[in-house]
Amino acid sequence: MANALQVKDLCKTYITNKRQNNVLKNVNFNIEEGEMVAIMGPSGSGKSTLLYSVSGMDRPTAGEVSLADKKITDLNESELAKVRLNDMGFIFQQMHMLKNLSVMDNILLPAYQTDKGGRSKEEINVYCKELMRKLEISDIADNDITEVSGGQLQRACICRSLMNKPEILFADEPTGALNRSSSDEVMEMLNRINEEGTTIMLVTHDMKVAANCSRILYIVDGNIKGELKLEKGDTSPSETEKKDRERKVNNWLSEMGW
Amino acid sequence: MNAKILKKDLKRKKSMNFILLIFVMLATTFIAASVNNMKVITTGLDHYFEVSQVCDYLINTMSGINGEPTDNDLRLEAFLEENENVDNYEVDDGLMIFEDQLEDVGDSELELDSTLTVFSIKSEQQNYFDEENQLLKDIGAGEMYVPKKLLSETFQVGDSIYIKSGDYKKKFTVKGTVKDVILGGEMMGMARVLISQKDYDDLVEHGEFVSQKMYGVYTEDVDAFYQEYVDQGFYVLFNGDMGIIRTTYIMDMIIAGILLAVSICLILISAIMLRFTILFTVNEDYKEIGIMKAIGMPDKSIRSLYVVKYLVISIIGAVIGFFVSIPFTDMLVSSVVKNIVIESGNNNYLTAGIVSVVVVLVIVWFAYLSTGRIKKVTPMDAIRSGNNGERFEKKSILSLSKSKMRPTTFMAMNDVLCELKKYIVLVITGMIGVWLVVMPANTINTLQSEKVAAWFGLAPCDFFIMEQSRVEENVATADRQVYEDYLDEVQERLEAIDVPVDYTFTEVLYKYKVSKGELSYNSMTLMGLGSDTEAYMYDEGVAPKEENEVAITHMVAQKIDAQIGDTIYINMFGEERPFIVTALYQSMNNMGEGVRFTEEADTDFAAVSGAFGVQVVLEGDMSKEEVSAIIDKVEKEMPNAKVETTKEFIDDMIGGISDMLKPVKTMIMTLVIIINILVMVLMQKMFLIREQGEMGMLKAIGFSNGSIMSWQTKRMALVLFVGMLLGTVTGTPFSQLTSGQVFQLMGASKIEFVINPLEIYVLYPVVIWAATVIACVITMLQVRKVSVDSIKAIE
Repeated sequence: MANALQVKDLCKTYITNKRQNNVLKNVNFNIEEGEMVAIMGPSGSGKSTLLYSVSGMDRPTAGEVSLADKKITDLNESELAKVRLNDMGFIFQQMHMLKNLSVMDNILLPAYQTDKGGRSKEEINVYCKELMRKLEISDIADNDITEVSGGQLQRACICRSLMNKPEILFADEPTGALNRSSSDEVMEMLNRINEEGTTIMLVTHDMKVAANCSRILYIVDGNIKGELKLEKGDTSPSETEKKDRERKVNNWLSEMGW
Repeated sequence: MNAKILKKDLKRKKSMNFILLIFVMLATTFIAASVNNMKVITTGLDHYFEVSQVCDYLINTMSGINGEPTDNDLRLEAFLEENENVDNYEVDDGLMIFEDQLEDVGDSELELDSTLTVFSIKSEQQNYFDEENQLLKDIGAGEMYVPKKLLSETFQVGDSIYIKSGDYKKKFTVKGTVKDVILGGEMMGMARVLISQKDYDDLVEHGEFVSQKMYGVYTEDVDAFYQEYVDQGFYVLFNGDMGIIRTTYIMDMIIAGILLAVSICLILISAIMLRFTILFTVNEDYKEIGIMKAIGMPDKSIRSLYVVKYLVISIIGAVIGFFVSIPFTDMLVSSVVKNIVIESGNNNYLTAGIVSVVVVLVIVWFAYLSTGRIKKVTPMDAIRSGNNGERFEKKSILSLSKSKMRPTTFMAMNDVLCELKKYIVLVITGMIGVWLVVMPANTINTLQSEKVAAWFGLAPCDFFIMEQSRVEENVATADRQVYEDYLDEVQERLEAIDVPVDYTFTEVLYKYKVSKGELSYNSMTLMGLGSDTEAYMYDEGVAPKEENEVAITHMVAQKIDAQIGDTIYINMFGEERPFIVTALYQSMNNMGEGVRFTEEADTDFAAVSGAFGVQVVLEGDMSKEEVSAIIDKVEKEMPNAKVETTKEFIDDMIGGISDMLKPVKTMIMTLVIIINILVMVLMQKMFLIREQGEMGMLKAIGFSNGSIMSWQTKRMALVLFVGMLLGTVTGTPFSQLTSGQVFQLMGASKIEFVINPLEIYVLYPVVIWAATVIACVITMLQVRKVSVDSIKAIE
């Protein structure tokens, strides 16, 4: 399998009150195409910083990050914007959307902004409706973002991140702001998307979310301390299968000092 | 503890607090300057007349050589001595200097549009003031003070001229300008020059000059005096009470009126700006208010914390605004109101101080009211920025999927439609800005249009020829034949240099008592020698044809309660002669005065007080360029004559108002652009702070800096466009409401503004819009500093 993401000697340092804070220290890892990787670790370990640095949302202090064959650490701001628009999707913990647009218009926004694929407006609209149907939010298309539940809004954010058919999807605690039932729905959707071939890298605190992934990286003090590979399960596993995977993850996390 | 929180707040939210500070400073500056400006403008003329200590009624007669009284003067003096309504009267003599009695020195060249009359500084009638509004008490030997209206590019302070009479000539150097309340108005035809008593005596002793007498009458009852005076039928050059003298300052008042409108608009913009900024900043504070409530701080403490914050900011802003407003007031007033003695600036500090305190109180009051909701809302409501429910009203109006617009254009349009209220400041600023620019532009265009000639009661012609000394000589002869011969002579002189003249004509002016029943009025009357009464414009009725028919202006009709078909009486040759009114017309001459005779009317030429230049009508239908070439030729061949187009003639007649208005227009245009830019930049900065979360999110989903700037700029440009469109559509009615009133005051009852569509609808709006949008783009460059991380600031 080819690499969807390659991270080499990644460092990120913040200067706070004239004090240097090395958040990421020479991090190295790869993610293969079609993988679904969870990043876990205690608070302040550098999980989100790692996600933002590898996704081009933030500039690392040193090191290299490549998306497929594109070295994004060498790109200028305008080239990075294009990468964010065309090659990747990003899901935030909070369901950030423009408040003056309807749910569907928010989803459509990146697709109308790009010229990738030369799709017509009609094709984009059809694709958007198809995605919304898949993620079961067709009925809220014309609603304002203030008129829908958190789970629905997060699914709308997932739709938006998929509109330009990205190679890789990044997610920062995608279920962090949701209740258990909404959280399960969202993870089911992410699993389905991953099944369809989209690579996913997500940050989570939730052991149950991590148990859905094919690999877990555990980060402590800016270094990857351990890695757990899981066999790919079904999109809708049975309760027993779920429990088995969760137990396995739980045991491993205990070993890591979670 | 509160002091600590406040200190931290001022530091941490420095951008928002700084914007509020700037708005407070601007509002204080604009309001203080505008209030001062309004005070000076509205009380300016009253103040000028008061400090000049003028008489109640003025009569100006033509007298003999070197002040020798004529029979008419003696009769007038006897009347003034005996009339019981006259408390007292003073006489000042003035020597009339014609162009051929002046000799320029060196490069200086005095061009006379009106007669120059030399008076001694030792006036009994009034006080004079210098450029600095200081009382003018003494003038040195060989010095003269001239009114500003006599100065030109070729005749400045420091220049010298000779006044000649026969072999005698005396050199005078212009020491400075004089503010002369009686004859200083731009609409006053005469111009008074002041010299020392000794120099005046020297001129009288060694030379011979036609003279005038200026009678200043002091009376308790001007109306009663006037009714008895007008019955006497004296021959006068001018008479009028101080109300009439005030109207000669109409041009200054037009400018003052425009400034008044500017001031009111500035106050309006400042008030809206303040309200918007405070609501905006208080809203920003709501999240923290919620947190303080959540940790149990009492409402009173929270509220006082924020009120104190606004008090501190507003005091700093108001103090800065106070100091900036003083030079700003001076700039507004002194750059345009040049002809009158305005009140000294000492009171400006007091007004600015009061305004500053009021601004602080208003802000604190606003802040107090705005934070009043603290008591009612729960901590969570406050954290949600004052919104108190899970459901909100529907916001999105347009649909991106159905729209053909680019996403950034769509977002801009949709934002404006969803939250129109948020942009109302910019809409109003844009609209008012256009009003302020359109108003002087329409006034200038109207005053410079061909239409104005008709509104001044003039018949159309191709050009005017003015030979001042010949006209004065003609007037002195009191003989109609001399005028007619002069018209023929001018035509022959023109034909001799191959100018294809069709005919020439002139307007002869008289001051006659016009009456109907008990009502009478001393009005300017006119007769066109060589012209057809059909050539003039009338609003109602038909042109007078017979010798006993007249047309009268609306103003005269109102004064004597006359209508078309009525018989009115005009006092001439010592008797009341009947005339039938056949038409009503409007005229801006002498503030709307006017009675027009036919050429056949038998009038008393001894009563003629003046005449216009010779009006020349050329053969065939000539283009502007051809007429212009002929004017150049005539100017060359007749070096002593002043040759003018109708436009130039009118402009001279009304004191070069167009030239006076042009710098005002430029000043307003500059002011409008500055205000638009300030409001735009400050609003945009507020939006940048408020919407950095959205911008971070857009960056995260792949929008480039350029796209985000495009969204924000399009939104502001659109809002400004809407405001300016509204301003452009309503600008002309606004002009009608403001400067239209002044035209009416001048005697024109039915003025239609002449609009230059390219200038009003395209040029000015585009210049203002483009300058403001460029400022917006420059402000928006800060988008580059917004990081994806800012997404955390999203509401």
